[in-house]
Amino acid sequence: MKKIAKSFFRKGDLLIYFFIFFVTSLPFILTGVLKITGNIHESLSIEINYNGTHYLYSLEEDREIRFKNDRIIVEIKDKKVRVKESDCPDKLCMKRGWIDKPGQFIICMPNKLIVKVIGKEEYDSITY
Amino acid sequence: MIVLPTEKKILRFEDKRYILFFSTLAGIFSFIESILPKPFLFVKIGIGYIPILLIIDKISYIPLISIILLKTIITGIFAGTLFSFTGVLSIIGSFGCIVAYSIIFPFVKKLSKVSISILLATFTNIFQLIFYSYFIVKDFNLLKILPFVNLISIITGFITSLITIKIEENFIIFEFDKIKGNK
Repeated sequence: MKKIAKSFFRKGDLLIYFFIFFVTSLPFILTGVLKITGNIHESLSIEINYNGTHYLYSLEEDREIRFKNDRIIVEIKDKKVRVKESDCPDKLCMKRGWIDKPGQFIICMPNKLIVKVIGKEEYDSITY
Repeated sequence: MIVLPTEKKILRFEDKRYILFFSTLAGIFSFIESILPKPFLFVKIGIGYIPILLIIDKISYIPLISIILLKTIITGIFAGTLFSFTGVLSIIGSFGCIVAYSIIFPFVKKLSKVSISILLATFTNIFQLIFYSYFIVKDFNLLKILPFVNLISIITGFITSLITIKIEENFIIFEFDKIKGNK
């Protein structure tokens, strides 16, 4: 009986289990340390293309960006962005609503306006 | 009707041909496992490591490393995946296993089969995950799934060690004592 118990657990095992526990928790520790020291940049930005001109804004700051004598207003609020006002006939860009994920975009064809969220895009799936 | 042996069978090895015996046995086990359906790709119990675990505390450093490497090559030849992506990943896993064994080799007799098996499984999977995230996906964010991978390693490593312990207790006694330079 003692022999059977020995094949399942010996004192030296504790070191191995501690090591495995340490390795398992390493991603959590590293992520925590990097977040504290501010080395992780997960901030997103907004790229606006209006009439062929590029503008870049951060999603962190709330603001309103105005074009065409205030007839087009792009609003950044709570790390989300939307087209608040537009003088286009169908208002499709306004109906698109808020976007906040990298890769999402709003297009207003009549005004030649593209609003796109830029950042590290997440994978839908990985295949190999 | 299958009749299980009532007495333990003694396997006596008098020269180093046991390296070939165990590496082929491990290779065949590994090949059988590779053709069985799996819940997820690459998630397997690792029955190929049972022959290795059976003798891990009975033989020396170089013979065991040879068995691990030969097992990978034999499995690759049997399954036809030696030079494919799967084969490369398998070789990387074997290197992980060798690194783990190198660390625990001085005090391998003071450890139980369960902890050895879990450690080998963990190292195998960590090495494969690092290789996969660095060279294939090129995104270290994949390392975030390390805790999940380790959890699977612990479960599969435990199952493998359980089978090994049961085989060792009930069926086979290995004798290597007469081989020169084995210990």
